[in-house]
Amino acid sequence: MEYLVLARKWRPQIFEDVVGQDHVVRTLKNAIKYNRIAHAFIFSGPRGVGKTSVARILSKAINCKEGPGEIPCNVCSNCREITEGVSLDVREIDGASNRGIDEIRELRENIKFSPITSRYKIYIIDEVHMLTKEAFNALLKTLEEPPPHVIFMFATTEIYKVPATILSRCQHFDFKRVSIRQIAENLGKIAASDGITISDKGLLWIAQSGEGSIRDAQSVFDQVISYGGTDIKDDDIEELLGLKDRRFLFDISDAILERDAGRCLKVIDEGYYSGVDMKQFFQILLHHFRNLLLIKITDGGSFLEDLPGDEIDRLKGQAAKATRETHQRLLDILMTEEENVKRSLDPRLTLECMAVKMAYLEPIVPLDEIISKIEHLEKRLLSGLTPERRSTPPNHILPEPVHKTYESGPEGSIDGDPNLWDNYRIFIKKKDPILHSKIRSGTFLSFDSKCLRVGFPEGYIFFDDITENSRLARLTELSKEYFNDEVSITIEVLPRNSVNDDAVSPNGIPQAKGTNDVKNEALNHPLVQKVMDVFEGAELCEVITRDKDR
Amino acid sequence: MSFKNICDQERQKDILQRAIQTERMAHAYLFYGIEGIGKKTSARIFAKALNCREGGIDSCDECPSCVKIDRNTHPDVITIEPKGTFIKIEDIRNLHGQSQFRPFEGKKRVFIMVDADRMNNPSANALLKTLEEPNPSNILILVTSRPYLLPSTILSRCQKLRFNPIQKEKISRFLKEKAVVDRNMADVLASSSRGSIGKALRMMEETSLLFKNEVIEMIAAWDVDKNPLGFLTFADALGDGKKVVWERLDILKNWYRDMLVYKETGETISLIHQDIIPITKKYSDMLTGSDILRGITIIEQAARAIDQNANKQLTLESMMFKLLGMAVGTPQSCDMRVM
Repeated sequence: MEYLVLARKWRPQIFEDVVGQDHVVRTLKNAIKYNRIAHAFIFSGPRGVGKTSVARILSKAINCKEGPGEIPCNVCSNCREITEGVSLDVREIDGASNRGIDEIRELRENIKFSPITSRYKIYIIDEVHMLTKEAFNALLKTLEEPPPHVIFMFATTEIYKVPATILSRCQHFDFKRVSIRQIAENLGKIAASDGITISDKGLLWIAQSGEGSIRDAQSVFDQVISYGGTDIKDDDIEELLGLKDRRFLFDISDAILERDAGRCLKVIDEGYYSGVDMKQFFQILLHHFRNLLLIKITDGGSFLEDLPGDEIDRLKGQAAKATRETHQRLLDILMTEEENVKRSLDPRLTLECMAVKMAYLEPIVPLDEIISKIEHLEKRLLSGLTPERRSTPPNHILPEPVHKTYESGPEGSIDGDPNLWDNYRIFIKKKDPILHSKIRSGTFLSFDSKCLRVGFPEGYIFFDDITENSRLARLTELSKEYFNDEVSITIEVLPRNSVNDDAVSPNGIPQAKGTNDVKNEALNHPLVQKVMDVFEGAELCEVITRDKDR
Repeated sequence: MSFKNICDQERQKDILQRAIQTERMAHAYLFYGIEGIGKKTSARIFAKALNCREGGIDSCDECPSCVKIDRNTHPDVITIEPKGTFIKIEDIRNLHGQSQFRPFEGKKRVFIMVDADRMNNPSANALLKTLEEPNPSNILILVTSRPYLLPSTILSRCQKLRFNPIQKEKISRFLKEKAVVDRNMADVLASSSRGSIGKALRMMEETSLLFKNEVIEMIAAWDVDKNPLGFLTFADALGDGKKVVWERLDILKNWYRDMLVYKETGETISLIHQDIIPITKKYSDMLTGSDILRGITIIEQAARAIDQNANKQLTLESMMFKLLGMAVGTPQSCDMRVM
């Protein structure tokens, strides 16, 4: 006899053999027992959990010569024919290959003839989600009220592709993923009856690789057997399942978290030559860092259940190596690179670059920490340093010639109107836009005793133009209008480098004002005052200044 | 060709041969791994060994069956390839039809589906039933370098066999024996091919090695102090056709990658361009790691822009400007940056 893979050899033939779908099996058995069998069923669920098998068992149970009973005999001619797939009354149709309306019309033609040897005529349509829209619609009337001798069974992995009108006419059974333990038990049974020795740990590994699908696990088991023979060692399984891939995963994330770019590259190299698919590796890396971040946030929650214990410990160890912010940023890098990796023709290079980028990431200080530091500083400033404020020199360097005037002149009109220069320029712009464009890049130096001093960088292109008498006269005229007073204008040349420094604050005002000033200003703001009025006992705790964009 | 001619892949060969020996062949296999490492060849040899009249676990290459398979005239070994972009549902229906009968003359009918990931959605779904329970004596082998594009329902029905990239030394030895190239050439090809024999052989036939040397020579010969505008010539020399530019940019990119690898690991084993290690070392010392990373991004962006039909000359020149901005730290280049 021809060799059959385990998944086919061990396809369940009675309801009791179906693993992990108790909710489905019990309902169906009771339906048979009380003779309440619906005329249309739809079975949905992930791949390899027993949808087609249940459909076959159900048809056998209904059509069995000994029955109908909960347990098909599997001996009578009807049962045997169904198992072999040659029964005339149980037609198993591949919905993906026969998906058009023509096939459905043909099916409707044949439906009216009564069954030949059995009680019911049963149509099993597998992969039913692939039927076209027209085909589904052509089926609707028949499906709602088929002749009494007809039963439909649909099986699909993608239930959302089946129209609601179909779903509402069927009894819907949703199959669940099979738990690892149940898969392992099933594999153990197979191993025992085929005379194969394998450790429990090995069985668990294989069960795990099935990801809830019993067929996946069985085909891996098959592969393990054909590789290792009847006496299977753990090493064989480890090798075949690519469990070593997980090792690369931990190695590289260790290296990234320790910011060792060289080791990242070496791990990738090693992984590449042992056949790890780089795109797939990227995906598990992404998943890994997501887990790390989740652990960091939740302190290791229940979402880790599907990982083996020693891996969870390692994960926790890695999570502790960096702050939450760093983990977040590492994950951000991975997510932004996702599209690149997908499109890349050379995913290895993309992965290498990404790993190095991640390893280069400077650890950052959490925002809370910075804020608390600032608050601390603020307190110190408020309590101890306030009186000294005036004598502290402004925290930026002013151009050489101006120093004295500025330092001696806090009582000048600048304090009165910090935006003097800005307002002045706006005024000029209104009156004489051309002139404004020429003085715009000037630097305000000082304004006192009716003298406005403005500086221009060395080699300024319009310098000659402005210093020309007629321009100066116009400027003075406008200034008189603005200040309501006679004001003389002095234009000075500034050395190049000092201009650069000064550009930071063109209005010549020290940017870091004392916290008290800011607070007072805020308190005087009408909106704030209104708030204080409405909320009794409200207090102003903190003022956050916005940077003035320039 | 027989199993013993295949370079490396010992474990994979072992699995297949043991399957023949113990008669535990799965009805559906999935061979996957990067391009050019012997997946398709292994599939053909597996088909030969299964049908060989000598009956061993390897093909004899002499019996009529083996000869026919080699000539592609065996009625029971059928190769399915994408016609155009996809493998279409008609092909799958044909496959289904053919699999209904017993093999004509061989022991097993083997379907080899090349680039299986190119099945479109209807085809993949149409294959599911056949793939799960084909008629006896039929074996399906799906071959792909992008298994993650196949639906999980297909993957779950196959026995999966992963093929590994081949170690550099083995490629080099293989090239020396089989393709008659001299030692140096074999080494260079082996390291540039990144583990793929197919790529190494292709590179040998094509002129890409020549390209590479040109690019590298230009980098090496270019002296900023003497010829500050050299980068414009360089951008020009990257070629005209889209494909040529692409290929050369790839070489440049890999060279940057080499610098990065050398900078971080201090080792030269895993460098791609083995023939220009001294130059790589020199430049790698001049740049910081993040500079090199930025360089790779810049080259990638340029390649993408050219792919999207941006002006080739402008793109390449601006790329060179940007690369130059960090590549050389001499005062002269600083001035040029200001310009």
